[in-house]
Amino acid sequence: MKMIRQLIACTCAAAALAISLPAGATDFTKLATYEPWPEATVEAFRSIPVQEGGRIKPMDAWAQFKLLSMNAKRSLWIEAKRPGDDEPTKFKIGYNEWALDCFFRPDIAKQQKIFDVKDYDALTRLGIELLKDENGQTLKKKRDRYSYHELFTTDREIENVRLNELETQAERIRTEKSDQADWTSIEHVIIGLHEGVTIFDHMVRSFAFARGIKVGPGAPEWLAPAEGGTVRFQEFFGKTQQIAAWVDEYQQAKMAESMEKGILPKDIPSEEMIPEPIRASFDRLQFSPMLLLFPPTDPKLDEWESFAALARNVDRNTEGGSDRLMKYAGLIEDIARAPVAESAAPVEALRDAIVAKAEERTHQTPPHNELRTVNLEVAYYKADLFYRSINIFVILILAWAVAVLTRRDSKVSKIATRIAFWGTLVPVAMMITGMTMRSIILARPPVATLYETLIFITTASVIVLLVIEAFDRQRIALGGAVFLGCIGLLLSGAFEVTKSEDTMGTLQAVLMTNFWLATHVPSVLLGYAAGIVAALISAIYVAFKLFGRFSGQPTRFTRDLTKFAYGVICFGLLFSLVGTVLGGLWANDSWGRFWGWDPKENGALMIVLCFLAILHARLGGYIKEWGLHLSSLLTANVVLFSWFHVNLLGVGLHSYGFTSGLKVALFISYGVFLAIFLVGAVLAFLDRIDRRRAKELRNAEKGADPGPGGKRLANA
Amino acid sequence: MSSGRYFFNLGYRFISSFGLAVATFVLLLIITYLGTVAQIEIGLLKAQQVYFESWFFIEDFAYFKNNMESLEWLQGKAYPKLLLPGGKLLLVVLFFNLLIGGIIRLRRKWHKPGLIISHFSIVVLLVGSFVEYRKADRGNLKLDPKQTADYFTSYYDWDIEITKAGAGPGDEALVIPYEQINYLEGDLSRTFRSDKLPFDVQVSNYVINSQPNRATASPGAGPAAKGYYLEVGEEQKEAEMNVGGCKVSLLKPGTSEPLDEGILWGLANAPMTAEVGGQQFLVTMVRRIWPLPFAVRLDQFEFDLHPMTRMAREYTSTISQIEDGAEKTVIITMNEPMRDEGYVLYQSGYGPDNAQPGDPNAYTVLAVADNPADYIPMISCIMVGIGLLIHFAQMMVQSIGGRARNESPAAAAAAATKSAAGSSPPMPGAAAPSATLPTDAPDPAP
Amino acid sequence: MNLPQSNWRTSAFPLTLACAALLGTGCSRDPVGDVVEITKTRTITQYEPARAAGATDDERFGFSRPVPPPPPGMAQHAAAPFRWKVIDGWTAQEGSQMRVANFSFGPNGEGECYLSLLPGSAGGVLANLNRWRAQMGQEPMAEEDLASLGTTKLLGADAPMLDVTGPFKGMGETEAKPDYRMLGALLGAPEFTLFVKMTGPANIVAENEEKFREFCASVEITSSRGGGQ
Repeated sequence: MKMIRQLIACTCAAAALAISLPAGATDFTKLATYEPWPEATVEAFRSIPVQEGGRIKPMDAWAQFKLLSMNAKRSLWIEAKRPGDDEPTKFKIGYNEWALDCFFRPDIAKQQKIFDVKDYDALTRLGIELLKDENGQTLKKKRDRYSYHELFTTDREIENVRLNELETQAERIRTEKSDQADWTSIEHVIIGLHEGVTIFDHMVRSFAFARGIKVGPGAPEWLAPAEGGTVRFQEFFGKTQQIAAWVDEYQQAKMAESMEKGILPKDIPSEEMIPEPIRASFDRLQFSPMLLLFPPTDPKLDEWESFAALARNVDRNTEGGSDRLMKYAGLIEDIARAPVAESAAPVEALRDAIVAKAEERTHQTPPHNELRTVNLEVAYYKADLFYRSINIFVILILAWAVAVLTRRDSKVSKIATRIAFWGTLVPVAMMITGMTMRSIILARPPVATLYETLIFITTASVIVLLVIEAFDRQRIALGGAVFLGCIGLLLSGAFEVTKSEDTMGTLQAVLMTNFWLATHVPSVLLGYAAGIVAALISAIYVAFKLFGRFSGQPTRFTRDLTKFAYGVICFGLLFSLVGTVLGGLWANDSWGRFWGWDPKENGALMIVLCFLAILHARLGGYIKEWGLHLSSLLTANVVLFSWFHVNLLGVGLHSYGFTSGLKVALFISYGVFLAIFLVGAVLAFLDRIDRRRAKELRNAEKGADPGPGGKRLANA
Repeated sequence: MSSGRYFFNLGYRFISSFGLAVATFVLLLIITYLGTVAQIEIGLLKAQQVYFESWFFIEDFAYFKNNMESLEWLQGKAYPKLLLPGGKLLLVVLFFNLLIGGIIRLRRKWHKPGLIISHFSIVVLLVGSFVEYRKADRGNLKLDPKQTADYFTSYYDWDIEITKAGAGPGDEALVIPYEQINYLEGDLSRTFRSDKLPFDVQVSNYVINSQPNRATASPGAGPAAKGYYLEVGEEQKEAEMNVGGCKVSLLKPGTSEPLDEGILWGLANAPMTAEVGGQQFLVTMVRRIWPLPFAVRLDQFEFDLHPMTRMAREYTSTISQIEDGAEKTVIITMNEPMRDEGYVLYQSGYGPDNAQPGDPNAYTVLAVADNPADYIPMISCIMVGIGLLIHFAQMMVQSIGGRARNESPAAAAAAATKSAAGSSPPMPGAAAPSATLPTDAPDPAP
Repeated sequence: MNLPQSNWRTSAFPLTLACAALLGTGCSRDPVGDVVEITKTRTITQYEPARAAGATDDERFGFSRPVPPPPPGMAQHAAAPFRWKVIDGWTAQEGSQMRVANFSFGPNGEGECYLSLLPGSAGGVLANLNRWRAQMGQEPMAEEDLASLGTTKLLGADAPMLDVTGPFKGMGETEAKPDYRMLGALLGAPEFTLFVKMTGPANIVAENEEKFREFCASVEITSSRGGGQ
């Protein structure tokens, strides 16, 4: 028995160590020099409010998911000489620094390896030539990260050809296969790269104007650049009327000329409609509409504006539009022109201007209290409670392993047990705090998206297991708690990366009801949690039995495990049944029917039916210990189906979840539970043979025929 | 003992047995799964009819056939066809199993009130669902700004209605219901008569999803009437997307002598006009119309999107409810329906598709349900929650108590004996749960 | 075997069976081919939209009638929804993508007149008139001068009409033709801008000035093109 535990504990400890070791960073961006943004700049930058996805969030959240979507990581490694360094050193920069680079130092940003290409063949298909290292050797790795310059080179013509190819292929995939499920893995990579490059392009364009506008040769005198071929944006824009008149004149002539020739205006090559010198200026005047940074002046509106929108509004002669544009343009220019070391003050100035404007809106009618949680959200991401909980869980796993490895009544074991048990309360508290912060930020219960359900169920499961441990004190449930906590959070982290979208998105109208979100959803989720915990207990049961059979020692605890599984299933039935009926009530209030056989509803029903079948079969005596555990392992797959798989089906009213990328993980999980089930089934069969043999032996000793009890046992 | 009594008892024990309950749960689990994945292939409404509203159905595993292509070893394999009990049958069985096994047989166990309460609440829920299934009408109501309506229409059922020309409020319309015509595909035809009509109506060529077109556009593509025929469109998985259509011939009563003919189409701009015996009749195909006991007028419709997205944040209809000349303002918004006189009106959607917030022409779509069992699920939910709470609380107390007793070998022995008195023989490890279980659990099926 | 003995059981079972029988009564389909009595009726409610009698199938199914041929004396474009009066003495020329209608006139076809269409505002009325003026070697006119222009009926509205005489230098031509006259009417509708422009030797244009006005006044939009829905 002791050996078994040692075996388990060693495996666990090893696994924990493997998890906690930092993945070796290989994607170093090698630069000659890199001047890091000062701390104060980053601090000011991350708290700039931005609108996206229908809500106001800090730049911190905005930049984070942008980098995550292309890089599949929140940071990147750089090897460069920093000011004051003698030798190049390796260091990490975060997403805020990266976003600052995109906005204000695009030339550096374009050298950073941020495009995570999961399959090199995608590049081949795009006609992107093999990359060579300094010795002329082809670098070919299946998955690697590349910089914009590596992918598209610094040559404008090659860049355009490749960008066009990417655009064309992505467009073709999207139109030919409207269902993402039909995409091949290479097509997924191409689409992913296209999305990443599009976002990146928008980002580097966002504030390009701040570095001055280029004017080509042949410009009228009043527009000729003063120094270095560029004109300051404010100056350029001040002459808008003049430029517009000049361009208009030019275009009218072109159009009329072509009309007389019988050429439709739409058939005139677009570049011919623009006078030569102005064409050069376009490079830095292609404002991006992506970054919604500026609160609107009209109190009736709640759409924030991009710099592109500000510039457009000036065209439309919106009142005060030009002042507004000039003010913000000036603030942004100040950042671009300031030395990096002194960038904090202008970034703060920009943030303060936006914040002041947004705060002004709280006093208008109707009031817009848009900055309510921006700082809290910054704090949420800074605290990074869920990620840090993983590290604590790893330590707790080690503590638990020590506790199980040492002699039970030894002092070390007792202390380690205590550390593991009471220590688990720390990540639990952190997870609860994290969920509470989300809840405040979102003004709703934190259970509305798949990501949130992962966190919620992990937390609930850990608490349930801790409660069991408090009663039982066999350290089995404790082990389950620390492991489940660690795995659950790792999964939620992986899920966040796969999805690469703000996990605090706004909700559809039907979901915007706190009453139902706070009742139905947690109930159903606790039902899920119960199913998972019960299956975990059953898996432990199978493990005990397995080692018991190999070591030939009688297994202890298994009786307790059965009792716990049974109790957890009862708990699960209560919540899943009530939750399912509550869901029906909600549906009755929002869709006009109590039950509509919608996939998600069916999923919840299936869990209830599993629990009911298990409990009634147990009551009826159809299943005993083994039967209970085997069916609880199958229930886990029903839970997985209901929790994730129905969202992949793509039908029904509830499919606001997430689709592709998850499928593989899901099928692996099915397989794991199924494998444990099969091992359990074999063991149960062997157990039964043993029992029958023992009975026969006993009967033979007694010299009696096998009675009806014996027959029944065989039938059971 | 008479053999009749013996068989009666056998049947009684069977219908109330745990075995039947477990079998029902497992079968329900299986058909719920099959009915869920089948929705991908055949859509919700069809799946609902085939799997859940049937007594029996034959499963052909179409979903697996069409979605397991990646698994080569499954390709070209013949899938079995299975006859399975449908949802209706299983729920009826469950109802009696619960009623007899879960309530009547359990009734003497007043020390387990939780179980009886929760079983009873599920019985109530099943009764409520049955009433809803048989009696509830569901449809919707599109209201343009300032429009008043006192009726709602079905999503799926296309009736034929016949009125006299110029018929108005209070007059009668003859209705040939959808159920009687929806399978008259191709040459299948059927004649409908009424003393109130100077002609018989022969219906044929029903097309589930149809689109009228000029016969000249594609000669011979379908039976034409007056230069038009019905194009057969692909049947949509979202059943409400289908637009019914059929051909009607008006016959001289009792004969097959044609008087007039025409194409009926669900979305036609106007009814078909037939003049028979100097009187004009209007024959039309419409989504089934149910009257409301009151009228509603859309006073204002507001909807709001999350800024810079196309995702709805809120939609709200301000309605005047008009009854006997009295008006009352009611607000219907997402998750907050209006309930009155057994009818429930929900905010369901809006249009047109490109409507922007503040659009004066935006219309509202209200879902309407006439469901006499509307409140039953709520009562049932509260009851089942209370019942299970009581029961599991009781179990937990017993379990902890039992645990304390189990610490001593004597208690363990006692528990084992107790358990032996029940159906199952003492079994290692089962002692703890059995101590909390009803000790008189019935035998598995003999 | 201890079988249940109490009374309620004997009564409960038949009762439940009776319930089962009730539940089992489903509806079955009537056989096809029979004559079936219409039994279902419905009272028309107060607010139901009235049903119109006498609609043709074209109207019922949203097919407009095929576009009737133009009335005598009118001509129409194959695709663009315009028609106009056929003017005596004008020869219809091949139209182009730009020119909806295109005519020549005069003894040797020296004069030309065409109707053209541009989407949107096409740069505005003034800019276009000034472009025309430039072709006739004239100075641009100012916004205020617009009011002093003559008008002609075009699509039922009073469209400003330019009438200038001078050397004409068409697009792509190097040599200006002296003593030319240009009549140009221009109508800015919200969706498109309509141009009617006549150029030619001054004397020939003078002869055709009335015809120009007649042509302008006759232009109309055909409301639908038929065929589709």
